[in-house]
Amino acid sequence: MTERLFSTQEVGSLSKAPFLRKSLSEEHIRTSRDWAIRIGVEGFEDLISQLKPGIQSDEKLKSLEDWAALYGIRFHESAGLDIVYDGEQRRVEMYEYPLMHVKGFKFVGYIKVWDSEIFKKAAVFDKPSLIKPYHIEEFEFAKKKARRALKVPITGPYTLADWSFDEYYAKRKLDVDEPLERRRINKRDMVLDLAKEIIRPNLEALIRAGAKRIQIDEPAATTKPNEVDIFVEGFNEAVKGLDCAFSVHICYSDYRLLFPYILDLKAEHISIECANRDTKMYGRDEGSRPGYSMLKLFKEYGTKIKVAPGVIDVHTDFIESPELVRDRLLYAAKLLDDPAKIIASNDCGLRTRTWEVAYEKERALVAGAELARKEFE
Amino acid sequence: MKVSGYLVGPQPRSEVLMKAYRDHKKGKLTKQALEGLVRKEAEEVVKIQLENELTVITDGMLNWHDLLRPFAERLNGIEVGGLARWFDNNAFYKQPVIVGRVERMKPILEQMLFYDLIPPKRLKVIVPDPYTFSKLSVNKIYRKFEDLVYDVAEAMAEEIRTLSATHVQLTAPSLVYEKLPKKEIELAMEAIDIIRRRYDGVLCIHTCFGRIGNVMPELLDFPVDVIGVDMTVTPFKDLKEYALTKILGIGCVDARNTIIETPDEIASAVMKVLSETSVKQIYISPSSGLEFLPHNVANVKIRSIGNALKLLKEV
Repeated sequence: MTERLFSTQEVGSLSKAPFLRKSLSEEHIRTSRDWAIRIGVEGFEDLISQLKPGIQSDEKLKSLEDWAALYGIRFHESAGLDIVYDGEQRRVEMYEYPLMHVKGFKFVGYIKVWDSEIFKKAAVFDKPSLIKPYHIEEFEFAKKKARRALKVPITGPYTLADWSFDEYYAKRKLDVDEPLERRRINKRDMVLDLAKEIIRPNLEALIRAGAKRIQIDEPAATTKPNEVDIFVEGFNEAVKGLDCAFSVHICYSDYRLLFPYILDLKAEHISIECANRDTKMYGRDEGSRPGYSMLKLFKEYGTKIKVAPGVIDVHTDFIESPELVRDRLLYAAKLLDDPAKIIASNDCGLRTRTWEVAYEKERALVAGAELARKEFE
Repeated sequence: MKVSGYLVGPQPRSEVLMKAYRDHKKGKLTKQALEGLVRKEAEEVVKIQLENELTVITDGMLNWHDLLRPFAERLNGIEVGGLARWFDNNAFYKQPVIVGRVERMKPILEQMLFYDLIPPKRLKVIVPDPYTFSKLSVNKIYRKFEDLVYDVAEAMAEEIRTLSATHVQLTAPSLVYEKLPKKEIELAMEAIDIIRRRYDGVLCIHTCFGRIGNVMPELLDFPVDVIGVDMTVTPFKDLKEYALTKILGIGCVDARNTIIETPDEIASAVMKVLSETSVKQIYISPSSGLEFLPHNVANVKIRSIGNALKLLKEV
């Protein structure tokens, strides 16, 4: 797919639209109106007339999801991004949501991830099978409404497997003494089953519905250093022979562990988090740009795929200036020795930020990419 | 043969306590109310260990956000940094950032542990081993890594000396997660020796998330009484290969998966170790802290250990 230099894209989630909340106040309604005007949501008066302060039922919230998705799309478009989506407004969470549509898994309880952050974890107890593709309705709606190119995010097979307990594959009797080797065999089988039975049918359904770009999210890819090849195998199995621009998003990871396995990945680009590790200083040198040092590995290994290094940190309210974004992009281009290989992106989804902060950050991303482009005119 | 049981790390918080922590963070629950809930749940953690006849008892470490945090927050010369992955788990800890000379200027665990809930002479305290703590920190000051490790060991030794613990466990995943150069292992051993010289009780090193073979045979010479092994990643041949003269902590209950080990399976694993290795005394334990499991599953696993201990008594 041919793109202009430093094309801009979002990565996935935004925090929920101001009206998509259980307890709605006058202030939320005012904010919803203000945002609609600011980002150009057509027909928003219909929405505003439906909103009443007080507790909103689950049914009511469900009925507002189309509006929320429309807000998400217009949010990204009006910020000026080239490639957009709906900010995952309909999704609960990147792990729980897909597994709600898969047989063979059961949710077993909440687990601490750090401090007071928790997630609802499932166990696989039978061979997984898909109830039905779970991103089609949201994609159909986005396709109808979007004025720019779309990229659909979907959680990948390795992450679904790694974040789950194993009460099925691990119960098999294997004639293998080494526990780590047993774990690898079980994990590989689980990942490949998820790739073939769950992710691939979803990808096929999305492509049939018209998807041209799909981002497979694999934040767990490097969790177990001796299983990185399984992540790659699972990804390739899921996308094998399908006609679409596939990308992978991996954040907050030790990227050194991806090598050399990443050379075999059948993806058009890889999206990684860098801004979080970088300084806020201007400059296109090593000292100013420590967050991008891992790009040297991509060059060193002769990796063919493009890279979308995060130039916007999603874990701080600091608004990057367009000049800082420009310098980060140009330094990344210098390391890869090819500006055509760089896509301008965030570190990750902006769901942890307010809409106000997220919007300013996206605008800085767009303005910074434009400045970087000018250097090549 | 002598077989007993103990826990080797934090217990998972119940869903009620997880919610309380979240509510407290949002300002919806007072610190006092949160502490009341933590104490109530610590009482339950102590009760289930006593009911299942574990020999030494922990308070569950429910108020520790991660194994390093109390030390990162209270030792001089350390600040609490950003998130980093906790070995090969979907769990994260906040990295201690070393910004000055590490020193213990005030008690660390005094406010953290529920000593009073635990019967006399049965308190087990779990802390990170000095090498692991230092390895997982961001060192901005020390020119030599070993000087950091020694200072952390001094601070830990001073803290442990003031505790009335019968049993102290040094949790040491960094020793086994990957194979270390001999020099690094010797450094870890020297650091533990600093603690050993100031603590007379039972000293245990618990290795988890990596095979024990990665630190053998040097581990045999560590100045500890008990060596704890994560049997979910250690092949049995690692135990057979050397003459183990210390007490063995056998982490055969998987703390990272929900399949429940039956008492028969646990007892068989113990009998196999006793019959095929030189080990004479065993503590049965989970492979690591049960914090990676839902609260109810963790409790079922503790009961399995308790029932295995009963079975082995009959033998």
